[in-house]
Parts: sequence; C-alpha cells; structure tokens
Amino acid sequence: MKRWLFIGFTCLLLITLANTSVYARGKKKRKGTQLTFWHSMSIYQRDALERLVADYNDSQDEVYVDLVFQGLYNEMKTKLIQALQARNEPDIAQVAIEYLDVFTQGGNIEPITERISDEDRADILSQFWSSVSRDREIYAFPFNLSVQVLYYNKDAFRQSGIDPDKPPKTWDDVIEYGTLLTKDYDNNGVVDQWGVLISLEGVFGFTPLIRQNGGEFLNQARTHALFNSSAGVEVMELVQDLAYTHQVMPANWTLFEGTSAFLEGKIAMGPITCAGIKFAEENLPWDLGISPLPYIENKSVLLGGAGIVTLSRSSRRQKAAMDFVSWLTRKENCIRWHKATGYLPLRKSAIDSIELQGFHRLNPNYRVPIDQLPYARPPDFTPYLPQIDQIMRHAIEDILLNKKDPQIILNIAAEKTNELLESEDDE
Amino acid sequence: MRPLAALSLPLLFIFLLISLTPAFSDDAIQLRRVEIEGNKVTSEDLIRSMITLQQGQVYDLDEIIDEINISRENLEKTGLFATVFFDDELDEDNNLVITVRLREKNYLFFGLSGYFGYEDSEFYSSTSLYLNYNNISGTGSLLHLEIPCYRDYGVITRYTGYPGRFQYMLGLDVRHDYFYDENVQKLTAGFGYNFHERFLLGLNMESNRESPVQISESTLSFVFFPYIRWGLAARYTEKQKKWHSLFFTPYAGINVASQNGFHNTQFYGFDSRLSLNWDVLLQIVYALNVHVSYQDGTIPNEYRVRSNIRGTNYDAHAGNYRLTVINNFDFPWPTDNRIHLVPFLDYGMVGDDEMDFLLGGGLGLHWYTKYQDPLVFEVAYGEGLMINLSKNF
Repeated sequence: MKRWLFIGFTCLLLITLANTSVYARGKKKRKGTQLTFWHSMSIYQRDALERLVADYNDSQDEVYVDLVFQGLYNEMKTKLIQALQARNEPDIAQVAIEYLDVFTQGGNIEPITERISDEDRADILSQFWSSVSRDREIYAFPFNLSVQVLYYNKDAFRQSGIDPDKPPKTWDDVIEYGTLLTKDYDNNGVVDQWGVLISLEGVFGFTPLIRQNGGEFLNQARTHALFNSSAGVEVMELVQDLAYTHQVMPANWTLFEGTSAFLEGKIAMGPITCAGIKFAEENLPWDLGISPLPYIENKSVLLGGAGIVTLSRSSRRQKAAMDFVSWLTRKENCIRWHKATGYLPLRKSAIDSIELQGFHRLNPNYRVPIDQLPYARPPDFTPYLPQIDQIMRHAIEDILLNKKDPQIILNIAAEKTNELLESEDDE
Repeated sequence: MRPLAALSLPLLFIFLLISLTPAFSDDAIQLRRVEIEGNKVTSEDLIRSMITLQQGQVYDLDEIIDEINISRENLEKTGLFATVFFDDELDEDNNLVITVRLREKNYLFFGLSGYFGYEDSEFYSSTSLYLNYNNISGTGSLLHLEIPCYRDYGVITRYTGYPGRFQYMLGLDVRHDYFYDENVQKLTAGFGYNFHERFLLGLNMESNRESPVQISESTLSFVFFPYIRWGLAARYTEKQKKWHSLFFTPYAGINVASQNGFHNTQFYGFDSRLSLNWDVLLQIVYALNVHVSYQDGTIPNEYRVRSNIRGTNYDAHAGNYRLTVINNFDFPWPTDNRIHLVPFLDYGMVGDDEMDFLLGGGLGLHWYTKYQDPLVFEVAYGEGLMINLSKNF
C-alpha cells in the first residue's frame, strides 16, 4: 500500500510540475504594460512567431505581449472591423497588405510615418514600405512578406531525364518540361503525374502573369480595369493551352486537390508562395527544388503578405507597441523569421549579413525569392480588391473549367470591376 | 630643404592613405575579435573550442562563411543551444567583429520513468524517479540520477563527460532488487572516442556484486563491454529524412568465486541494436528498431537478456537469445507539435532453447514540455496490459 501511495503522490507531483513548467514563463511575466497582438499565422509559422514573442517577453519586464490567433487574413479582417466598431480593438494586429485599404479608407488606422525611425526606414527595403503605404503615408510595419517562386520535384525531373539543376526559366520552358513530366505510368488513360499546376487564385495569381506579358491589372489611378487587354487575354489563353492543348496541367482541380497531389509528388512543378519553403523542405518526401517564377516577356512577381498595424489609443501603449514591432523586425529577428518560415527578410542589413549568406549557402532554396526582389511589386491596391478578387476567381473558373472564351469572360469581369471602382469615385 | 619639403607632402599623403585604408576590402577582411554572448551556464572555453574562426586572421568572404557554417554546426550538434546566431559588424578601424549570440536550452529534466503492468493475474512494475542535468559545470557533461521505487529500491548515478572527441562515463548503482531478492552494487567506468560524428568506439567496464538475501554468499563479477556505434542516433535537422544507427557490444565477464573450493566462472555474449528512422511525410516518422542479443555461461541476474516487447512483463520472458522488432509511428499533432501520437507494434522471440514468440502493440502520447523530453504515456497490450512511461525500450 505504501508503494502505491508513493507512486500516486509522485505522479501527481510530476504532472503538477510539468504543467507549471510549461505555463510558468507566461504567468510570471505578466506585469507592466500588457499588449494584445492579433495574428493570422498558423501551423509552423505560428510556432515561429510564438517563439519570437516569448523571447521578447523574456527579454524585458516592462511590456508583455499576449499573442492571439484570430484566423487567417480574411477572418482577421472581419474580426478586426467588428472590434473597431465595438471599440474593443487589440493593440497590435497583423493585416494582409491587400486589406489595408479597408482600414485606411475608413479612417480606422492612423499613419505611422512619423513614428518610424530613420534607421528602420533606411534599412527596410523600399518595396516593403510601398506595400504598406498609401498616398505617401505608411500605415503598417512590414512583417511577413512573400513572393511566388516555382517549386519543383527534383526526383521527378531526374526520372524524366531533365537536369534538376536547370529548372524552366520561361513559361515556354514549362510547357516543354511539362510534356516530359506528365506521365501515365500504367497506361490506363488516367494521368499519374502532371507536369505543372498553376493555382490562379484570383487577382494574386493573375496579376504577376499579366505584368509579365506587358500588361497591368488596373490603371494607375485605380479607376478602371486593364486586365481584359490583349496581354490579359493571352495569359488566359496560355493557361487554357496548358490544360487542353498541351495537356500538362489538370483543368478541374481545386486548390485542396492540387496541394494534396503536390505533397504526394503527383505534380512536378507549381508556383507557390515562398512562405512555404520551410514547411516544404521539412515535410515533402521528395527532393525539393526552388527556382524563380517563370516569365513570359518580362520578369515580374507579386509581393504579398501582411504588415503589422498598431491600434492602441493611448500614446504610452502606442509607443510600447511600436517598440515591440521594431524589435520583432530587427535584423536578428527577421533572419530568424526568414529561416523559420521562408518569408522574405525585410532588411538590407539582414540580406547582407554573413549569418544569412552562410545560411543560404547551405540552403540555396531560401535565396531564390530574395533574388526576385528587384522585380517584385505589390498588387494594385484598392479598397475593392477583395470583391475584385472574387470576380476574378469566377472568371478564371469559367475560362479554365468551362473552356469559355477568355476575351468575353474578361470583358464581363472588367465591367463588374469598373462598376465597383466607379462606385468608389462616386463616394 | 626645399626638395625635402617637396617630398614631405607626398610622403605624408601616402602615410595617411596607408593608415586610413581599411583592413576590409572586397577581397579580404581581418577578423579582429570573436565575442560570445548569451551563455549563462555553458563555459566560454567550450564554446570557443567549437568556433573555427581565428582572431587576427585575414579571411575572404567565402572563407568566413565556410568557417561560420562549420562553427554553427559544431555548436548546434552539442544540443546545448536553442539558437545560434553569428552577428557581423565592423569596428572603428573597419575590422570585422563577429559576435556569437547564443540562447541556451533548458538543461534540467526530471520525471517518472518505467512501467506498470498486469499479466497472468499478477501486477508488476518497474518505476523510477529520474533527474538529468545536461550541462554540468558548463561543459556539456551529463549527470543522471535515478531512484528506483518499486521493482528495485536504491539509487543509480551516471556521469558522462565529453572532452573533445573523447567521452567518459562513471557510474554507481546501489539498490535492492525485489525480483531476485538481492542487493546489487555496481561500479561502471568507460571511455570512448569519436573517430567521426558517425563512428564511436569505446570500452565500458563494470564490477557487479550481487548478494542474495536468502543466502550469505555474494557473487562479484567483472565485465568488459567494448562497443561500436555507427551512424546517427538522432537527426540534427528536420531536413534530414532518413537516419540510421547501429550499436554493437560484445561482452565477456568473469564471476569470482567467493569461497574456497569454488571455481571462477565466465560468461559472454553480445547485444546489438539496429535503428532505422524515416520521415515519411509531414514529419510523420516511422522508426524501426531491431534488437539481437545472445549470451552464454553463468549469467549474473543483472546481465540476463530480457524481453523488450511492450505489453509483456520483461522479467517473465528472459533467456539467452533475443530477436525483437520494435515499430513506432510518430504523428505530430497538427495544431500543436509538442504533442505526438505514437502507435506502435512490437514482436519477437526471447528465451533459451525454446523461445517464446511475443507480440505487443498499443498507442502512446508523447508530450514535449520544458522539463520532459518527452513525457511518455503509452498503453500497450501483449501478454497482458502495460502502461509504459519510458521512452527507452
């Protein structure tokens, strides 16, 4: 009986200690100013962000940052609008750069231009500042920004007799490689491995391609659509050709189906955000290659991701929030964030650092998105971008799934887009 | 004087040019200092012994990057640091200063280890409280303290040091073994040498005294275990998809007669373990462990080969031969990678001339907390029911 009592007591003690050890860091530091940080990072990105924030909380006693996951970007946007209306907003929030206009137009967030130090302004690349600026004012601190790169399966390349160190440079190369990579191994009429999958996710998939073809998505004043130009139509014809003429791409797969197939090695190539490099390198069962996004006429990639807005009403909390965000994005931390996720390093000092050059020598896949920065541009911002994105998704579905005429469909989409943009003018 | 004056200006200019020319140029740079930050426990000497950069030496960029990558790998492989960061800056003379910023891991682990089981209408258990400190005196040495509290009572201690490529171990066990009803005192000493990160060769020596309670005489044994380890027991980066290791130790021992008229006796055998690990997809890891053991002679109880099939009473299935296969499938929980679900299936044969075929399987929960690496809870069913709390099998 004594043995049982001893063992029971020991188990109880250990469980208590284990629980205490896990949560102790959080509890003992909750003093001083407590800031709430709403974020949209999930899975491994969330782990990396949690580690950074825990380090910040451990590094000083004045400020404690409480990290709260509020769903992905779209859900975050909805929750943040509701919170602002109820005057219950967090101190800090991560907002997708394409949703920033929803808040700037409503006057819900104030510019932070004056609060940014000269050092931060000079060290963070200008492309990143432009992604969070509207009308020459900065509204957010750049944080997790990414570009699309081409992921490819080196094992599949080798099996098809293609040199895995010579990935396709242009979309013509993609067609050529795709023909070799598309396989029906058991000759049953069902393709077992597709050459490529382009997930044309609305505005974000379409914009870089139309720019590569010499076109633009919207005009500079953001008053009407340009995507139904010949440049846009040619892009859609290229996509149709990949699926139907060259038959190197599945035409009717959902994003989920495409992702699953890619993981299983059933798709040999595909443009995907660089924010997935870390995950892909550690989780894919095949040898991953990363190369620049193939181009049509010009090189162009879309800069996407999110910035961090500060919403505190008191100047003391606002300052604490800005100090935290500046800490979060300082050289060492932006290198850690890049290594832990694949997101772009924001600072010139980080890109030039020996630490990062050493990392890239061992992990060359992570270097590829940085090399694309000279021709990376954010989307054509407008407060109606979410709605225009939906219009584009339906248009692409019609063109790709239903094989409809690209010119007709894009004209219809452009009309709807122009109506939206005109309504903005009216307001 | 005039020619001298005329010369002095260009000479002054050249002198100034030389003195102001930075050591840093496109081709080469002088490394002025290497500074270490963030080591609260780990000794600076240990850290510096792993950094291959030489202060005062001139490097080109490629060389610096190579040396930093080698140094980082050396530091990361110790397992002592959560993060290793090499910061570079130029001092006022444009010489390079490298600051190695480290964040140390938690070095203290403790918990309950062992198992509880029920087989053939009998309860059995072997549980211990343990404490590991992974960085004694800041040199990366390991102290293991264990207090058995059911099958045995007593204390088990191990100290393992890692000076350079060498490693040495000292151990002392003093305990009472309830299963065989005897007192055991064991002294262990050993050393090894890492010829390569994947190749370790060493020798352990033990003196073991077993004193049964029922009879007055005791048995003193001396055992020699040369051993070899080939391969990687654990991966250093999750990019590595497959890693394997082989451990093999033949052994020979002598039992010294304690009374006149008795002869000394001998025993010998080998233990081996082949470990194959494969990161299949999404960090789901399949681990296959094959254990092969053989022994003969007058075997002291301490060295008897026992079953390691989870779900069976290890002590009840023992003999001179063992061939077992341990299969683990490790699934990280999708939303919290500190928690892993680990279904497992073990099978094999253990015994003497007639060997028992044993089969066991079940489901485990492994929880990685700050002080548990990990906290293991496994329910196994084989010859009976077992709750396993140990990550070793």
